[in-house]
Amino acid sequence: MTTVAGDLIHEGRRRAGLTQTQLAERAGTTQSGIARWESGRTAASLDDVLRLLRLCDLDLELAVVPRDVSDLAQAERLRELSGQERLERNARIVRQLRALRDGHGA
Amino acid sequence: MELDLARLLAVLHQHGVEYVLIGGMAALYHGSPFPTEDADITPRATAANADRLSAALNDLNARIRADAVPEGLPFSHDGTSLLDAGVWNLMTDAGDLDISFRPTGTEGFSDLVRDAESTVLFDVPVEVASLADVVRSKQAANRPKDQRVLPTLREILARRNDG
Repeated sequence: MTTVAGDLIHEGRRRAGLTQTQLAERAGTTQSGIARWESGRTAASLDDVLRLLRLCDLDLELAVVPRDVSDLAQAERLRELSGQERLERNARIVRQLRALRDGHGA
Repeated sequence: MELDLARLLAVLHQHGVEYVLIGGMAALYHGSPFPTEDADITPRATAANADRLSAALNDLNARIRADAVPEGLPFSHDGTSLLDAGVWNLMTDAGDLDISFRPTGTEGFSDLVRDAESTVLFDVPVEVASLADVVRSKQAANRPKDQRVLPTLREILARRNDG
């Protein structure tokens, strides 16, 4: 199980083109320490994430905003579908959206 | 032109093109709720593969997408010219196809194929970029349309990891 914090560290490291060992050297820790953070086996604090991203020459923008789960609710309904079924569903939706745009109704 | 993903993938496969499916279509595959009307791919950036891609694009009657020209601009291409430009926004007889040899925030094919999911779509083997890599590239690009979808994609990613 990974965590949002672990995902952010992984993303930053890959964007910077660094291996876990290279980031560990910059952070003064071990490769296994980075791996544990990325995998979620060790919880990374927000300060850990910020520090590691900055070592990747990146930064983290944060803002407190209202939570909107409407898109996530749609995503939840897709969980039971296979990848191909999701793509086929997208094709149907796109067809309907085009019909609406063209004024023919869905 | 409506996207015919099955045909698009079939033609790329027939020509032996090595690529990773990326962008919104890859996100959809992984459970994104956001519709998309085009396919994005990152081909392997070798001369031989680019030549195969060029042949596939000929079969697909690829033209350059341009707002002012609804039918698209015809263009001649070969593997070298495809590699030189790096990014192509095309319309084809199977729908819109965006090609990027090195999407923002990535090192290209070898970087993306590492964590890609090997699957079969419409009876064709396909490498689909991991959701983490789709997020990485979209965050690096950081266009308004990316900012719109990223919070949801990140949450889908975290929930997948939970499962």
